[in-house]
Amino acid sequence: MLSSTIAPFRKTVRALLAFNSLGQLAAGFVLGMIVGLVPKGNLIALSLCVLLFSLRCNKGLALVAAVLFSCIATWTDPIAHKIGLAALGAESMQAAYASVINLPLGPWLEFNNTVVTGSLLLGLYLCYPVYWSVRAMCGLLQNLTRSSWHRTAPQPGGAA
Amino acid sequence: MRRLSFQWQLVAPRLLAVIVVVLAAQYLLGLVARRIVARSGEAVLAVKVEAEAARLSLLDRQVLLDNVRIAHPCRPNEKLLEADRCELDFSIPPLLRKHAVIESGRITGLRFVAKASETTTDCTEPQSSPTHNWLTNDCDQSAREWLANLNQKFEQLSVEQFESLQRSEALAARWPGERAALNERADQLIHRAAELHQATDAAEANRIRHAQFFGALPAELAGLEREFDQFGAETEKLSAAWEAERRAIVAARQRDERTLRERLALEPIDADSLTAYLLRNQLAGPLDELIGWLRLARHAVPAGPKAQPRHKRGEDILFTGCGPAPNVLLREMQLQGTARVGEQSVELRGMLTDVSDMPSRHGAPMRLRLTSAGSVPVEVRATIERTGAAARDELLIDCHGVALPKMRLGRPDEFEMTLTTSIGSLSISVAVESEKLSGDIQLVQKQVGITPFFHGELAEVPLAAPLQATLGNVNSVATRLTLEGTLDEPSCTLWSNLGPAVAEALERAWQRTGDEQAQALLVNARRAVDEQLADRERQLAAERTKLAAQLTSALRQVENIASRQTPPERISVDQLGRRLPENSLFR
Repeated sequence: MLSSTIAPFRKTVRALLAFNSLGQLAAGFVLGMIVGLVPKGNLIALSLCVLLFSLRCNKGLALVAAVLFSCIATWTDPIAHKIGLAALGAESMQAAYASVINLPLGPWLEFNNTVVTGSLLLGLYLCYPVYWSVRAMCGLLQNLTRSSWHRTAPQPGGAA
Repeated sequence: MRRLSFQWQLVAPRLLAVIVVVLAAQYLLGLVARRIVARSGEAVLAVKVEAEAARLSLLDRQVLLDNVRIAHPCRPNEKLLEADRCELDFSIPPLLRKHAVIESGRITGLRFVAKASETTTDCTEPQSSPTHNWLTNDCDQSAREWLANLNQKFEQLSVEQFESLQRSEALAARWPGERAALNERADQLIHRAAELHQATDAAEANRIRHAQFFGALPAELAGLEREFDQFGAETEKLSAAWEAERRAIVAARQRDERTLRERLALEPIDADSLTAYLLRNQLAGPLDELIGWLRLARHAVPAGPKAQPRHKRGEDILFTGCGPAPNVLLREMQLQGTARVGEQSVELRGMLTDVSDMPSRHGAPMRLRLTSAGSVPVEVRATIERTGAAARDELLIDCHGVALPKMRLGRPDEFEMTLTTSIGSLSISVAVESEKLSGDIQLVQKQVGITPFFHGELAEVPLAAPLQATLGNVNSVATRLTLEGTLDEPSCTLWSNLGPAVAEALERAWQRTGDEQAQALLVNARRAVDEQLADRERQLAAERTKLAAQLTSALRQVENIASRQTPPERISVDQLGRRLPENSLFR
């Protein structure tokens, strides 16, 4: 009864985690997290998407992370706003920022928006711990799913 | 040949594929252009902008829109403006910097569909308030009271109130009683005279037996004669009283005339109040519409910074050294369309310049200039200035020789005037600085025909004809409105030559009508009094004649009795001892 209930979840996890190394899984999750946190509709988000689909990483886990962190982003926006405000308000960087924004396509980056810059920086800051955490969790899950697979798979020349 | 046909087999599908891709791209770009225009229009004008079809030409950097509709801000389902065609020439470099700059554009077939002032229950902004709040509610109170007074005065006019008539009627009512009393008295006297005559005749048959009667007869005769004399004197006195009453009635008649003139006299009507009475309802619509357009301008281009969209996350930082620039800028737009001015459809051409979604970030104010292309000279100039410290909107309209429709002024339940179709000149100069409203509206109507109407209780006052005769001299009406207050609570001061002209005409007409009415009443009253007096005089004379004849006859009887009476004789010596006659009772 229980196994039939958790079977779909198990299959999903297997589909997400199978056939990829732990590094690819963790990288996909991290990229998805950054894409989820950053507001859409600007060149930074578009570039991150292009990067996500260009790199060899787990796209499924990345998409799950993007959706998950898009929902969480509502709560992280105030923190991101403060980080962005601090970063963009730096007097010494004003000239650099101005030169970038005055470049063609510069305004399309929308990095002058506090939440865009703040969430990007927040995502980058969380990259390292999240990468290793997800990597460890994925390893654990892969071991679990493998052992489950070996138990349930029919043995050649023997009873299941 | 085989090689060539082979090449065609290879090229044709690819060519078709390219064509399909280009067409699909063109279609998709059109959809994208429609969406961008709708969003930009909403950003600039704060209203819904729709286009039935859109085409994007990348080579010409041009967007073509067909059947453009701009929705009413209060009712998105209704159109405020519509245009047949709109061409927008985009500049590419600003697009790389996320700025949509339209260097030039053309709108043709522009039409104003809805009025800006119309309100609905779900419209909260911009809201137009009725003009009754501008003009104070009691501004026409004086005129209304005057008209009510006019009606009251007219209703009070009646011959029954004349003193002369009342006196003559009282006299007529008194006369039958007096006549009856007179007749009764005369009858009594006549009866007494007749009775005395009969008694005397009877007593004369035996004078000795009636010696006592004959003894008292002289005194009775004297008393009766005295009463006859007294009755004659009373009859004479009645004639004198009648004459005195007649004189009193004549004097009362003069007093009646004086009182009537005083009653018909009216205080002069307040001309300004009459102007407000006549024009307040008529001006409400155009004023509301004008204020509605000014509010629409404020709604589309707010005085302060535009509210950030709700879904906007974070803040956009303006870096040091970066100049603020609007996201959407329309540098120059040629306009061609039609508008309804008065009763005429006027073709307008003009230019709209420096329109942007953030006017405070653009150096120049938005300007609109429209001029008419036809025979009716119309000029419209509007400026929306958001670059300074205080927001300033300005609207100037000049129209000359406009055919104005027939107008109804006043109140349809009381006093109303119709103005025939006329030729007019309209001049509007309105400015809104920050929230303060100021300006003038002047309207001059020429070749106007004015027809007055009285309704309700006033319909019985025969003033319309003399008033129209007097107002026939007025063929030009000038009206000036001075606007004050704020956009939320506007007020205005009204001046017009119509009020003074109508006031003067009303007074003259009332004077004439009053004179005629008074004259008619006086003539009627005089005739009635004269008839009654003549009647009474005739009756009195007839009565006197009749009584005189009767009394003369009775008096003769009395005189006859008196003449028959001889003084009593003493028995002489000769008569003593004479035998009684043969037939004597005592023999």
